[in-house]
Amino acid sequence: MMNDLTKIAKRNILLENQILVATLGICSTLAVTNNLFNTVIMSVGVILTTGLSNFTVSLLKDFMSRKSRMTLETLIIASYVIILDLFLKAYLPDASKTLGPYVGLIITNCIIMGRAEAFAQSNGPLLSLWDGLTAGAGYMLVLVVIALVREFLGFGSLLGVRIMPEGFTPWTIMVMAPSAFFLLGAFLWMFNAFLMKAGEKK
Amino acid sequence: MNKESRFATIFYTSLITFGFVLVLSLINFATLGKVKQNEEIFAVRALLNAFGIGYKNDAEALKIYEERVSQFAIDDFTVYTTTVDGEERVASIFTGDALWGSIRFAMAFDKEVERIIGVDFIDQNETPGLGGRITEKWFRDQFVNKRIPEGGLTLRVGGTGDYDPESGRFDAITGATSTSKSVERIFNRAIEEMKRKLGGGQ
Repeated sequence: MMNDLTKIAKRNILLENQILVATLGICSTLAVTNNLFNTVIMSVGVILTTGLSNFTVSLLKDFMSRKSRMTLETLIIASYVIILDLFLKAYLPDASKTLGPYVGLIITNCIIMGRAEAFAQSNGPLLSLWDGLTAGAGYMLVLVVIALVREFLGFGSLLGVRIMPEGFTPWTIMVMAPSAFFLLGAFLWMFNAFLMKAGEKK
Repeated sequence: MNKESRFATIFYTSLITFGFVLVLSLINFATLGKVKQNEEIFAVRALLNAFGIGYKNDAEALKIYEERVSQFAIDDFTVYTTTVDGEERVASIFTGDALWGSIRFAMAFDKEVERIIGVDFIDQNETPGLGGRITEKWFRDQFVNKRIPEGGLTLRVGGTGDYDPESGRFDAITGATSTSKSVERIFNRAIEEMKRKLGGGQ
């Protein structure tokens, strides 16, 4: 069991990272990563939604026919996102205001449906929960690295705290969506080159 | 029961949908009061920020608001009044359409509606990290004590914040010119409305 958990975590966070290998969840990667705080809140939302959706889909899989399966998965994912949105509105209103419409857009994150289809439909609830949480963590890892670079160079700050001196000229491009394309592209390239090299050594 | 049969598909899909809708309704009902309370606190905080009245926390903001701010209505338009350093100030809550959705904000003026005292946003749906930055202090501070020129405020693209109270203009957010233009339009409309309602306009 412990071995399975480690294997799943290693696969989801590194070897088959949903963004770097499966190239899923790109929309939000481009959109929210110019601000580290937004990125962290969004990623935590995705981790929780992916984990809980996977858990629920796995629990209910024996009652889902092939015809209604995807409709029900969408219903489950949307429900968890609405619960998250209500929770933020009620208990973390400032974060909810900052993220605005992006919380609702978690529903459209392909990673969540991807894990429900690829893993939860054929595994037990607890393993599925773990798979969802770690797939979300892999997503968070990539987003946080991109957000670190974008906020640092685009605003000269990290988590809103000014790091660069007053005279620093912000890289305006880093604040805008195209910079995320370049950074993500570079990141994909470096990561896949690293994987290939590691593969050759074996 | 065979889960692939037509009856099972309809039965289980309906049952699962009903279950999730019920849970969502209950959570919505449970958080409704808290969400509404948060909305009220946001409006109170925005009005105090616009008036330039400081507070330490939400409880203090509510207390100050009850003690120092009074209100009256002209038709369906509510005017909030207070006195700061012996000077009478008026404010109202306005709504206008920006790039992605409506923006709700509090704007305070001097008694003659010749100067803006301050502005704060209550609701906005602009892109987080881009247009969403209208809520940041550096952007809002541009409107503190701003003289209102004939024809209204004007927007400048390319600056990093215009804090001259006599300039009659403000700087756009880099990468969010459309949102900034919307702000120019809806702020000028709010100024006109306030002048008209208080009888200072045409």
